[in-house]
Order: sequence, then C-alpha cells, then structure tokens
Amino acid sequence: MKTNLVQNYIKNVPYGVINQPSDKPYYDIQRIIDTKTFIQPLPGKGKLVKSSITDAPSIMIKDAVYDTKALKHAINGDANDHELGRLNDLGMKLGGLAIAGYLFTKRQTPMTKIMEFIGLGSFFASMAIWPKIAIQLPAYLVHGVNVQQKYEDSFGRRKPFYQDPQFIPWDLYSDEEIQKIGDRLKVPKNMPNRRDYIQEKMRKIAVQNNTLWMLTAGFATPIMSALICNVSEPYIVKLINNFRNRKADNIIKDFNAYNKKHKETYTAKNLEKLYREHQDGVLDKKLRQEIIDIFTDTLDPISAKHFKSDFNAIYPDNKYLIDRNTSDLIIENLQNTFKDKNFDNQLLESMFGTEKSLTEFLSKNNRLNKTVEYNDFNDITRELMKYIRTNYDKFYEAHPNLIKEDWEEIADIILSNDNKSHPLYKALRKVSANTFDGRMFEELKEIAVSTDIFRTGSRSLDKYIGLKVAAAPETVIANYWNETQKELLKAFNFSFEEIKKANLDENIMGEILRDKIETVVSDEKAYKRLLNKIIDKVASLEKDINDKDIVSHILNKHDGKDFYSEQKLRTSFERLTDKVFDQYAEALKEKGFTSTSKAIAGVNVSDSTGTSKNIMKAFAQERLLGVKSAFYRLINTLDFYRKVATEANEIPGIAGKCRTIKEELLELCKITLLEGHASDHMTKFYQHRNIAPDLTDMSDVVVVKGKVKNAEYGTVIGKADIPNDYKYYKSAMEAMFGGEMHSDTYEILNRSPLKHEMKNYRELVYKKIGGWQYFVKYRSITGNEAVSTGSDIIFNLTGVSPKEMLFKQGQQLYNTKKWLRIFGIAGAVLLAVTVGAQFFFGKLKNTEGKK
Amino acid sequence: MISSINSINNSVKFSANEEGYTHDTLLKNTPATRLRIGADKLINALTVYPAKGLKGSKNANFYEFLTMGTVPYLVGSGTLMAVFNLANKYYSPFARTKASAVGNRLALGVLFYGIMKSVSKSFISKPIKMMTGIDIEQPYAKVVYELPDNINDTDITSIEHHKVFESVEFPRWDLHYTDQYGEKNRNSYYDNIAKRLGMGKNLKDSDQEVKPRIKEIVIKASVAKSISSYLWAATGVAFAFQKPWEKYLRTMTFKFWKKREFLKSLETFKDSFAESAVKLYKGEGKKISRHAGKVLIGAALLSSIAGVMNAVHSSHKPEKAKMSDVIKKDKEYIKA
Repeated sequence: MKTNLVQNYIKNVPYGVINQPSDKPYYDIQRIIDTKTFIQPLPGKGKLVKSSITDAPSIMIKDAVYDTKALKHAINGDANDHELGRLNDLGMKLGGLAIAGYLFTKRQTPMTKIMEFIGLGSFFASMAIWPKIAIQLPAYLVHGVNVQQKYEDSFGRRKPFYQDPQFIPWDLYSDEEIQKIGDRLKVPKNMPNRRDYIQEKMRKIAVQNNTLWMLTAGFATPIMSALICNVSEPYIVKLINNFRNRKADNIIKDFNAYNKKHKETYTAKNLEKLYREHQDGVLDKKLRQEIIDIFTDTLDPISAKHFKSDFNAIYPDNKYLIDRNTSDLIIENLQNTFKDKNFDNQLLESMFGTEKSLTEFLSKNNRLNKTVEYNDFNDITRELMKYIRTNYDKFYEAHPNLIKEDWEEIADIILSNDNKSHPLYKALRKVSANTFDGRMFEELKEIAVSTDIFRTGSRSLDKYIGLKVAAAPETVIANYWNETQKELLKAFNFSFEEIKKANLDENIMGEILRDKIETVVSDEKAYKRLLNKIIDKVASLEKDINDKDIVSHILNKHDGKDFYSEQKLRTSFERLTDKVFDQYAEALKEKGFTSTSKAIAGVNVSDSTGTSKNIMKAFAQERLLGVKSAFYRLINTLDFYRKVATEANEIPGIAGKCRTIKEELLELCKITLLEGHASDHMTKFYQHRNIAPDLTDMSDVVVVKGKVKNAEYGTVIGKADIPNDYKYYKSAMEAMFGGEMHSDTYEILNRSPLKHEMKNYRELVYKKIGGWQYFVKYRSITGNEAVSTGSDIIFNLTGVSPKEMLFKQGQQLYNTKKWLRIFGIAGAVLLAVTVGAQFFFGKLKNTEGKK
Repeated sequence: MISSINSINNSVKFSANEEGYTHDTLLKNTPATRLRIGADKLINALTVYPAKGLKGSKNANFYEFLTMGTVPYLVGSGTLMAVFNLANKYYSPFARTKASAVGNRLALGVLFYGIMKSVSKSFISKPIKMMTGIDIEQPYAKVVYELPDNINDTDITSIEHHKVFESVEFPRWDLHYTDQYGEKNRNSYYDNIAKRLGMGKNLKDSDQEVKPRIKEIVIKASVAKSISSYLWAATGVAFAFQKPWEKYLRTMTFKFWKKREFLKSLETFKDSFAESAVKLYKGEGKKISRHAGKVLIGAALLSSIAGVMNAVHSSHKPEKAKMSDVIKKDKEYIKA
C-alpha cells in the first residue's frame, strides 16, 4: 500500500491528533437579514443530453439556429468560446462546400458532379459515424459507459461530457445512474466511496476512448468516406439514370409543352438588335456575315453554306456608291493593270488623268455621289472609256511626233479582264450602297421566327437524343451498356483470380472466356441458365428505350417487312423530327431559300439523301444498332459454341467437308466470333491452312466438353492462307450466321422480345457483311452478287468482340475489387483493433479512484 | 485519488524549470518560436499525449486532447493521399496512368489544403497586428502542476503552449501587465494598444479601457480566421486541380543529389505553378465553369479583407456598454 503524505503527517505528529473544539454556530438573524449573506448562486440548469437518432432533425435545426446566432454575435464581437468553436466547424463545412462546388463546375457529367457532393457528405458523415460505431457503441456494449455523452450547460450550450477530464460535471449524473453504471462495470456493491471509484473508472474509459478516437479517425474517415462513395455509386447511377430517362420520355410525350417551356428567341432577338444598330445602314460584307451568322448559329455546316448562298442570291450585293475615292481607285487600278505592259508613262498619266479631272468628269456625267446598280456598270465603263480615249487623243495632239500606241490594244487591256479583276468594276464595286432597310428586315424577321421555332424543336430533339443514345458517358444507352457488361461478368462467374490474371493481357481474357464458354455450352442446363440470364439482361433495354420511340429499322424487320416504315408507323422520335425539319424547310422554301430547304429536309418526305433531317434520324438508329449488335454477337457466339458442342458435324457450311477443313473452319469460326474485328470481315478472313488436306478423310470431328479434339489441325508445318478458296469464306459465314440457331437457343429466344432482331442481325451480317466485295478475294461473297455496304453498317454490325468487351469490363472490375480489397481490409482491421481495444480499457487498480 | 510523492530524498523535480520556466511565461511570436512550439506540440501529440491518453492518465487534460487533434489531420491527409494512389500500381498501364494523374492531383490538393489553411491565418492576424498592435496569436508557456502517477513519480510539472487570447472569455490579461518584466509602468502594453486604437494617451486605467476592445477584436478576428482559412484551403485544392500540375507531377523529384533532375523539377514546378494560377483565374468552359475560379479566389480574398475590416473598423468606434445592457433588471442572477 502506498504511503499517503497526509496520513504520514498525521501519524508523525508528536502529540497525536489534536481534537480542537468546533466553532459554535452563530446566527445573528438580524445581521444576516441586513447583509443578506445567505444569498447564493442560482441552481445549475445543466443536464445530460439524452437524444436518439429520431431527434437528429430537431438537433440539426437547433444547431443551425445556434450557429446563425453565433455568427451574428461573432461579427458583432460578442461571441463566447463555445460559439467560436462552433463557427470553426461551420467554416470547415463552408470550405468543404466550396471545394465540392468548384469541382462540381469542373466535372462534365451529372454523376461525377453529384459525386463531388456525395464525397463531401460522406466525409463529414464518416467523421461523425466513426466515433459512434467504432468507439461509442463498443464502449457502451463492453463497459456500459457512454463515452460520447453530451450535456447542456446552464446557458443551453451542448458540450461533450468528458471533453476536459479535469473538469467533468459529475453532478449532472444522479447517484442512481452512477450506481447503475457501477453495477454494469462490476464495481463491488459494498465498496467505500463507490461513487468516486465508478466515476474514476468512467473517466478513465472516456479518456482512453477519446485518445483512441484521435488516433484512429485519421485512418478511418478517408477510408470510410471512400467506401461509402464506392458502395453508393451504382445506386446513384441508377437514380440519375431513371431521372434522366423520365426527363427524356417527357420531352417526347409532350413535345409542344416542352418546346413552349424552352422557347428560343435567339434569332429574332438578335436580328432586331442588329437592325436597331444598323437601320438603313450599308449592307456591307461584314453586316451580311453578321446577319447570316444569326441564322446559321445552330445549323450544320452544309446547311449553313446553303443558307449563305441563298441569302446572297436573294439579297445580292448589286448597289454601289460612286464618290471621290472612286476616282482615286479607278486611276490606281488602271495604273496597276498597265504596270508591266511597257507603255509610255506619260501617255498613261495623261490618259487616266488626275483624281480631280476624273472626279470632274464623273460629276459632269451626273455619276458622282450617286448610287448605281451593277447593271449600270456597262454604261459607266463606256463613259470612262470615252474619257480615256479623249485623253489619249489629246496626248497625241500635244505630241504629234510620237508614234501612236494602238488604241484597240489599250482598250482591250482594260476591258478584257473578268469581273473580279476588272480595274473599273473593282473600283466601282468598292463602296456598297445596299442597305439593311425596313423591307429587308421585315422579310428576314419572318424567317427568324421560323428559325426560332426550328431551333426550339431541334434543340428539344437534341436534348432527347442526347439523354437517350448520345455517344457520351451516362446516357441511358451508356448506362445500359455498362450495367449489362457487369452482369455478363457475373453470369460467366469470373473469380477475382481470373480477373486478376486477365487484367494485363487481352489474350488471357480470350483464353479464359473461351474455356468458360466451352464448359458452359457442353451442359444443357448451364447453357440455358446462362443464356436466359444474358437474354433477359440484353432485353431489358426495352424498358428504357421503347421501340415505339427509337428503333433501328434494319434490325426491326418482321417477316421481311420494316414494321415501322411499312405500316407508316414511324417512331415518335422520327415523326417529331420530320415535323420540325419539314416545317422549317417549307418556311424557307416559301421565302426563296430553296437550297437551304433542300439541305435541311430534302426534296420530299422520302428523300434519303444526307439531309440534316436524315442525319438526325440515322444517328439515333446507328447508335442503337451498334450497341445491340455487340450483345447479339455474344448471343450468336454462344449459340455457335453450343452447336459445336452438340452437333459440330451437322452445322451448315461445315457438314460434308473433309476432316481437315472441318477442323480449320470450326477453329476459324470460334476465333472470329470471339475475337474478330470488322477488318477480319473486310479481308474475308485470313487463316494459315493446310494447303494439301487429305480430301478423302471425311471422318467426323470429335468434340469433348465443348472443345474440338483436333486430329489434323495444327499438325502440319508450312501452312498458308488460300485466297482462291472462295467457298471457304462462304462456308464459314454460313456456319456462323447462316441456317437456324440451335434448338436450345431458339427455345429461349422465342420467348423473348429479341427473337426478330436476333434473326435480322444474323441475316444482316450474312448478307451485308458477307456480300461485301474485297478486291483480293473478290469471289468470296455469301450471295451470288456483291452488295454495296457502307463501312458504318459493317462497323456497327460487328460491334465489340466478346473478348474485348469482357476484357475492358474485367479491368474495371479488377481495379474496383483490388481497391476494395486493400482499403476494405485496412478498414476492417482498423475497426477490429479499435473495437478490441475496449477490452483493455477501464482497468483500475483497487486503490485508484479512492480519494 | 491523490497519490503521494516520495520526498525522502527531496528529489522532487520540476522539469518545467529545465526549460527555463518557473511560471507562465509570455513568448516572443517569432518564426523560430512558432517552429519550436509546433515541433514540441507535434512530438507530444504523437508520443506523450497518446501514451497518457491510452493509459487513461489522471493528468490527461483538454489541452492534450486538443493537441492530439493534429494527429487525425496528418494521418487523414496521408490516408486520403493513399486512398487515391496506393492501389494504382496494381492497375493496367493505361488505367494506372489515368488514375495516377488524378490521384497525384488529389494528393497535391490535400497538401495545398493544409498549406493554404495554415498560411491564410496570417492574412487576418498580421494586418490586425499592424493596425492595432494586438497580436492575436501571441503564445505563452504555461507551467502545469500534475498529480504524481505513483509514489516514485517526482516529475510533476509539464509545459503547455497556449495563446494569450485563445479563450475570449478568459484571456490571460495578466501576462500583459509589464511590471512583472521589470518595467515601471504596469500598463505599458495596454497604454500602447490604447494609443494604437486611438483611445488616447496617458489613460488612467488603460487596461480597463482597452480590454473590452481587445476582446472584441479577438472575437471578430477569430471568426474571420475560421471562415477565411477554410475558403483559402478550398482555393488551394482548386489550384491543385489545374491541369498544368500534371507536367510537374510527371517530373517531380526530391532527390536533390541528382542535380539535373532536381533543377528540372524545380523549374517545372515554377512553370506549373504560374500556369495553374492563370488557369484557375481564367477558367475554362462556359458560364459558371469559366468563372468558378474567380468566384472562389474572390470569396477567399473578400472573407479575409472583410474579416480584417470588421475587426479593425468597429474597434475605432467603441460603444460604451451601458449598465442596462450588462445587468438586466428583469432577469434573476442570484438566488435571494
């Protein structure tokens, strides 16, 4: 036992403890009343804060009110320490909002923008949640002590109860409460000064936990915050996607209402503004361009070019002003024209005269300061030539000894120039006299109104298509693409180790995927299960992009007919596009802008040239075709592998071939479907083959668990591509895209909305890609005659190979999983250590706590 | 329980004495002092205080808890950098390049956040000191007498580094009475402040006149510091997010012994710094995106200027507190 100084002192007092008599109480009531010495402080109003999660909203409001008042107090210079502390937190939140706000403006997509605020929110949430779940809760469960207890002081300020271990307001705990905590802490019931002992134990636990909080928060907050963001991201993607998809659907659903709300007045407004600034002003080159720019602001470059040419034809630059400068210019241009012609300078100077004499001449002819039209140029030229001729004659009259230059030659030099380089025309044309007058403004204003209606409509269509299928991140189709690919990885049951292996090399992914497909297709149940999953997921696009709104016509044919165009049931997007573009084209045509009208909507409704209208419609279709083809290709790949697993020797295009060619074809088809690009089709496939196969060996190929057991393929050295074997290409295409699909595939597809599109897809690839002619292997076509197929169709129909699709998605998944593994494990270890530490806290020696 | 000290050998030590402090001592606010205090607090926050805290020492106090608040800041900054960068090395080369470019800028953002937050405090305190003579950051060493941990614990003092005006309710006015430093005039500090604040010379009780004004200035400066420092920190992050930093991050090296690379790194830092500053100010894109940088810089600048103006401005126009404002007759203060 330790020695206590006071005890020592008492023990060592030589005469023992002196019992002094206590003072007698002295109550002079009158004195007390007179001096009021019995006054005492008001009883404290402090109390422990007992709040639950349901009180959070009211606490938040109270805090906000308190902070507002605190800010007011601080600005006025009369805040207290507690208020200033709260304002520091406020500053931190404000700074956080400033960061998120700034980064919000830097991000390009709604998702990344929102994630800035999610990041901020999750950071603050982690700061608050970590001490609650890792410190407060375990400490309470282990010890029964709330180490994050708060109390409200007499002034209503909420503070942590254990904030300062040297000044803990223990009086706020009733004796009963403390004793109860003591029971939970297993403090012996009969211990002297039990309350003090319990309090000391509580203090110790609180101090230890507060320290632990400080030591762990730095690790925990960023990790938790990042984990929250990571986990919440898919849900936020879904929410935003639903919101944006609904928004897009509403545009189409009530197109007029949307246009009314987003009405554009840019053209009319700017035209009016320009007119106000240049009313009756000269329509010079600059002003012309400014007017044209207003109208062509959102037009595509081709239509804009047509608009410019229409505008210049309707409002030609045909009126010019002749002023004093014109004389100067005429002389200068004439001099330049004769510069290299070897004429006597004196003669030239005399012929062209001076600025003064020419101006006088123009004035005499009533041309000076007059507006002339282009048609008058001929007359003026004649007059000027007369003026030059007079000077010519005068010159030779004054110099009779000189040999005369030929007048015809001189006249020819001046007049033989084309309009652009004509020395007189050039000078006369210099000052335009066309004006931006009221009549022109009124005419243009009518076109401006139509242009604004068109701008409104086309912008709404742009918005719709932008939200649905634009080639940008986070559109409906991009989200569908990502989501479906993720599901594919799950459906193929990729393990983390497999993803890790395939992460750095596409070919490894190809091998793993091929192996997985071959294994699955060899089992009917597994195949059907996988196909069902994939088809369901692929078909889910219908929920977001209805084929009544946007459709790829070439994929949507039913029984050889284009369902929508044949039945005059254009999709809603197409109907609206036709309406918006046709209306504008009609309005332009009426005003004489025929060229622009054609560029925008063509000659008639069924004009299939590359008009703005058709480009708009084609864009949506092609985007849809590209995405759908990639998934249809995967389904077709699975189907072919299934055929190989079950009926390899009966596949059309393969059946009836010799063993070697069968094996070669099967390998080619497997590889092409899994990894092939558009360029492989363009070159009609390149394969090193046995140039002298044994054509008598017609034996069947052997397939074990989806894998072909090659007897010939790969055994021969010195193989080569055989470009003359044009049937080989046809056979391969027949095997991959010809004939019927496997009965198991058909059974599942038949129940799905994809059945028509899938059939069309295979036919399209067979005919459109297979029929395309390549100059080296020009006979390698699927039909009897080559077809002309645009490279866009070939590109879209080929889509993305399954190997590449899963490789890229696998990389993303690997990155996410790797990150989660590192920080998930770090977070879990930290949590375990923090929670585990509770079991070492609050140990008190028997003597501690006793005062 | 109060434990005893073994005084048999009269070996009670006051380690505070070893540092030269026998009582609470005002310290000069110089860069060297600030560095020494910062280092002392940091070392204690990482060693002594956690050890005391984890043991649940009876001497653990609020100061130590607050000082330990540096730990989550530092560790958090490091962890935040790690969160954005640590896993990158496992990614494929392309993904790694992309992730590292973003991760490095985020790490730079964390760094600039800390630097700007710390530096920007002087945007408030320096002008106020220049205009009023009041150093709101004035440090002092506090001698704390602790309870002995056990009978053999004879070292019962420790030093805490506080600021004179860190509490606006209980500022350490006493440390500014100058008679304790050998000056004849006890109020010379307060006389000087009174003069600087335009309250007159040779005031009878300059300390009593000046204290409410100092308090007002400290409060206003404190809130200005709180708000503006975080806005400057946000500006630091925005600055770090500018694309030109990528150039520096690609060539960055701290290996000063490799002279060529190190000099190149410094040069790139200079260029990236200037280009990023221009880019932050000028902005990119349209509308808000173009002006976001200007708004942020403007907000931070405005908060500092307005904070200083508010603190200084009203201090020139003191309003004497009326007794009726201090004691409200209709309110009960004591129990009679």
